[in-house]
Formats: sequence, C-alpha cells, structure tokens
Amino acid sequence: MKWWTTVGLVAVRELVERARSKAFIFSTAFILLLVVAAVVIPAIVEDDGPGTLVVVSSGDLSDAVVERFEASSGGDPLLELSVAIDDATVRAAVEAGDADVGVVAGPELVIASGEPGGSVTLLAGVLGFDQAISQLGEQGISVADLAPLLQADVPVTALKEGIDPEDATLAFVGVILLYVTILTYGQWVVLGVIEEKSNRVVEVVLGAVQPRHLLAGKVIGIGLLGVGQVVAIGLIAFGASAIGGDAVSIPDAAPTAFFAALLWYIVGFGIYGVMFAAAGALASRQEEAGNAALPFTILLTIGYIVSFSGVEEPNLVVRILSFLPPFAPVSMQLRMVNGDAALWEVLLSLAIAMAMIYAVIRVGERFYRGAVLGQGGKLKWREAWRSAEQ
Amino acid sequence: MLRLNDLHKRYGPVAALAGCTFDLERGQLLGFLGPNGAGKTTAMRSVFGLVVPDSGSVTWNGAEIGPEERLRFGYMPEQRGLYPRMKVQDQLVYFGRLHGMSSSAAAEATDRWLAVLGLTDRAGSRLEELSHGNQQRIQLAAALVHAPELLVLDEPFSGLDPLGVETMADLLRSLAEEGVAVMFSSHQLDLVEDLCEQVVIIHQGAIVLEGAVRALRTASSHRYLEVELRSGDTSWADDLPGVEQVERSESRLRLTASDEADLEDLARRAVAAGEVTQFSFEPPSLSEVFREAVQQ
Repeated sequence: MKWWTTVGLVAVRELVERARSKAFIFSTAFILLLVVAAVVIPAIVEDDGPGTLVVVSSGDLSDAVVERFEASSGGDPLLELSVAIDDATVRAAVEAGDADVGVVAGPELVIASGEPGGSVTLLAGVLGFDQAISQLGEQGISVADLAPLLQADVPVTALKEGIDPEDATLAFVGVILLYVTILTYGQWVVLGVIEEKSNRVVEVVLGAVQPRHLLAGKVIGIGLLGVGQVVAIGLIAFGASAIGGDAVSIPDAAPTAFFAALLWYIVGFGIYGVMFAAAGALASRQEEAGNAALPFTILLTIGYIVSFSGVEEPNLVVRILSFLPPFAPVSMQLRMVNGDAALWEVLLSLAIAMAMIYAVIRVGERFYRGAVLGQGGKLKWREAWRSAEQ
Repeated sequence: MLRLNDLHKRYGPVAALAGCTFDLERGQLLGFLGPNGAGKTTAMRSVFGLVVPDSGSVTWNGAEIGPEERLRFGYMPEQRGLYPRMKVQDQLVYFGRLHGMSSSAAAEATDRWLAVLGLTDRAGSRLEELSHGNQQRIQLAAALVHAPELLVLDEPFSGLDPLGVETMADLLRSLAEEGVAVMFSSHQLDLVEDLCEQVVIIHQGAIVLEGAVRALRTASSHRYLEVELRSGDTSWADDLPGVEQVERSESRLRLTASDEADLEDLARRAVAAGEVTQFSFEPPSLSEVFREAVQQ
C-alpha cells in the first residue's frame, strides 16, 4: 500500500470524525456567528452616510458659501440650507432644535446653547471669507483678480509612516485568529494522540500503520479542519459584506489578510501540529494534555503577545520575530497585512519556516515513535528519544 | 510460516525475551503459554514491529517482516482498544482499509463479520454504546476484517462468559481449518488442551517446551496416579521412593510417580491397605506439564 493512501485514510478519519463532533460544530457555529456580527453590527450602528449641518438663514446665502463649506468639510457634514422670513423665525427654529445653526443679520450665527462645534466654526469662517470678498468687490477689487490667490493650496505632508487604521484592525483580527486557531487545533492533536494512546487503539493501528504515517495523517486531518474554519470565516466575512452592500465597506487589505491568514495558519500548524503530537505522545492521561503541550503553548503565546505591539506601528522586535519560525506565523502575517513586509522578507521567512517544519517532523516523529507505545505514567523527553533509538 | 528466531529484548535490567524461538505454520492453531511476565506479549508485539528486538529475527515465509507483510496480519492486543466514539461499521471499514482493502471490499467484509458476530443491528452504534462483551467481539472483528493470513491474539478468552468462550473457540478452530496461522496466549490451560494440538511454553523469555499437546503429556517423565480406598486410609502411600503426594482430598490421593518409582510395589501396598475403589494411571494434564516446565 502506498504511504500516501495510509496517510490519507488516517487524515480523512480524523477530519470526518471530528467534524461530526458536537464540540467542533458548536465552536465553529459560534465563531462564524461572531464573524457575521463583527461585519454587520458596525454597519448597522454606524450612521448611514455623511452628516448634515442644518442651517436656517434670514438672508439669502450665496451658492459659493455652500460650495466652499462643503469643500472645506470634505463633504461631511453637508450643508442643508433653508431661508426664513426674518431673524425671529430663525431664532425660534434654532431654539426649537429644527436647525443646528441660524444666520441672522450682521451676519451673525446663533446656536441653541453651549460652545460652537467644529462645523459651526467652519461655517463662521466661510461666511467671514464671503463677506470679505464682497467688501473687496464693493471697493472695486475684482474677485476674478483675486481668484488665483484664493485658490492657493497649502499642501499637507505626513511626517511619519503610519498604518491605515483599517489595515491595523485587520492585522489585529488576524493575530487573534491565527493564535486561537493554531492553539485550538493544536490542542485537538494533543488530545487525539493521548486518546489513542490511553485507550490502546494505537496498538492495533500501529500493527498496520507506521508511526510517522499515523502522525502525519493526524496532523494533516486536524490541520485541514482548521483550514476549513479559516476559509469559512473568510467566506462568511466577504459574504456578509457583499450582502450588506454599501453599508459595509471591505478594507482594501482584506484579500491580503485572508491569504496571509490561510498561508501562515498552514505553515504554523505544520510546525506546532507535529510538536503538539510529540507532546501528546509523552502524556498518558487526558489531564496531562495541558502540561505536556505547555512549552509550545508558551512559545506560541510569546509571538502572539509581542505581535500586538506591532499592530499600530511595526517595530524591530516584531520584525525580528517574523523571521523566527515559532513566531513567524503570527508576526509575519501581521506585517503582511499592515503592509510592512516586502515580498523578499515574506519569502525568506517562509523558507526558514519550511526548514523548521522539516526539522520538527524529523525530531518530533522520533519522540512520537518512542513515546506513543509506552505504557504506564508520563514519559520524559529523554526517555522517549532513547526508546526510539532501538 | 511465522518464525521467531532467537529473539532477545532487554528493558533495563529485565530480560523480556532471552532466545525466544518457535515456528507457526499456516492452518495451525497454536497455544502460547507462560506465566505472567514470561515474555508472551513482548514476543507477540515483536511480530507487529511494536517491539524492536535487540537481536534475533521475525520472519514470514522466510522473509523479514516489514510494513507490507503486516497488512496481511491481524492482531488483537491484550489491552483492548478501539475508537470509543466511532461508529462500529465505520470503525471496521477503517481498519479494513488501513490493511489495504478497497472501500467496497472493506464494507462487504464488515457486513459479513457483523452478521457472523450477530451485531448487524449495532452497525450504526458508537462503540462506547455497546456492552463489554460486544465491544470485545468488535475488537476481534477489527483483527479479522481484512482476512489475515496470520492471526495473533493476546488473551482472547479473558473476560468472556462461557458462551463467549465457546463461540471464540469455534471461530479460532474454523479459521485454522481455513488455513490461517493462528496463535493465542491464554492462562486457561484446560481450554487450550481442548482447543490446540500444538503449544509453546515460554518462561523467562525463552521457550522451555513446545510440541503437540498429546506428545508433551506422554513425554513427561512423570505419571499421575489417582488412588482411592473405601476405608479412606491414605497413610499407606507415605514414604514410597519416587512417589510424591500432590493432592489429598478426603480419601482420594493424587500422586506423581517418577521413573525410579516401583509401580508394582505401589499397587500391592494399596491393595493390602484395603478395598481400592479407584486406581488410575495417566500422563500429566497440560496444566501439570506447564507447571513442571516453569518450575524447573
């Protein structure tokens, strides 16, 4: 029998049996619900479109005022103008809350109470400017002559390279997703190995299957379940935003984030899945699962915590971690999403991770082989290593 | 033919196998006997590569056993274990396929074995929902589903009720008749004596006795005498040279007589002591052969 047939059989069993389990169905349904909520709720809560500043005026305001206001405000808020017959009517409308701001003779602005907000101050400036131009016109200075001067733009330059807040949010979500997914499915590998070992079915299986094929099938099967979950999260997120239409905006980096999450989940699970399997083989009871996997859980958690420091602004530590295989899945994913990583950096990190996966498989397989048939209590790493020598 | 040739295996200071050698032919039903800790399980596991011996070889039809050969073997370990939450049918199909069967052949064989074991109606149940006895049957089916050429069972009779023992015995006998090489370990020596023509006795990691049960019994240098006098007197048998009292229950005496014993003298003394109601002279039972072999 070809080895890949065996590995395939084992992987399919792991995948199917676990996908049928209540634990998987409920946890997946819960996560997908969270994703839908995360996409849809902001769209519902967010006010639809730009705001408006409702202005009532006793005199006619020129179109230029409205245009200049909206150009200055960047279209948010827009200006909604209505004309009242006299100043008293204007004041009444503002007091009643029918308008945000009133323009009375002078011109003078009135608001209901408190300090003027940014939009009101902006309107005051635009009105003052308009008044100045009309006074200059009265003194014989042509507005046409002034126009070029008035159009002069003051350029704005960002001094520091920052990250788009939307990209940062995505990167943040990606860091959590990768950490949780690798850890969750890694724990499943640990528990699966312990289950086989503690109820002795491993004796029957290993009578026909070589340990490394059982190990590979298990990691691939459970790993694929995680891939399925990441893909489902992506599809649901894109799907929900497509159904939401204009109300939901997809950040530009979303496809990159999805691709990066998938890629680094697979790479990460290649590293951690095998390590978790070896750890599980050393334990003899379910209660020992957490302890057995602890060194690797800590490793993964370090990458996770440190990566948070790089969400808003990439720093040197995150950049270094993104090349070290145990941390790269979380850190490099982050850098890819927030646009900090160059292509060569991604490829280099991938190459290092692949070498690590090869080493982990070679070493992890030996620990697994040495420990999985052991009976009695918890084994030490050294014992498992020696046992496989024979 | 399965051949274990001069297997040695040490676990630290303990020698689990110390020159274990024996053969098993196809069509043979071999009882593998030995006290606890004699190395039975270690020897059986070595056939499946679950134990790698320090030296010696395990061969099938003259060739070193590798992964391909093992696909044609069936194994039922002493500590039973299958996937508790997996459905019975799925489980048997899975083990069939792991041994290289196509999915249709595995499904067919699964149905057949479930019918043979009377568990067709439990095909869709999870293993953990079955009774202990039925789980045991599924364990056996998992070892048989791929129609192995060699079947190795570690204590297949332990935990079975008398009816289950009978079914298992019939099954093993018919498998051997079909040409399967079957070996099993057991502590139920009466059962082994009924069931097997051949036995191998292992003690401290080495084979101390092997051959046909009948031959082993007659080859023993001891004979067993059972003598009963109506008077119930047993003192006549005291201090006879070459004779040892093994068992005394009320008036019945069980004696062993070695080569140096004078059987005629013994018979005369018994008759002189009173009316003899029973006098039998027979080779040792398998249990006694076993005891002699491992007490040396």
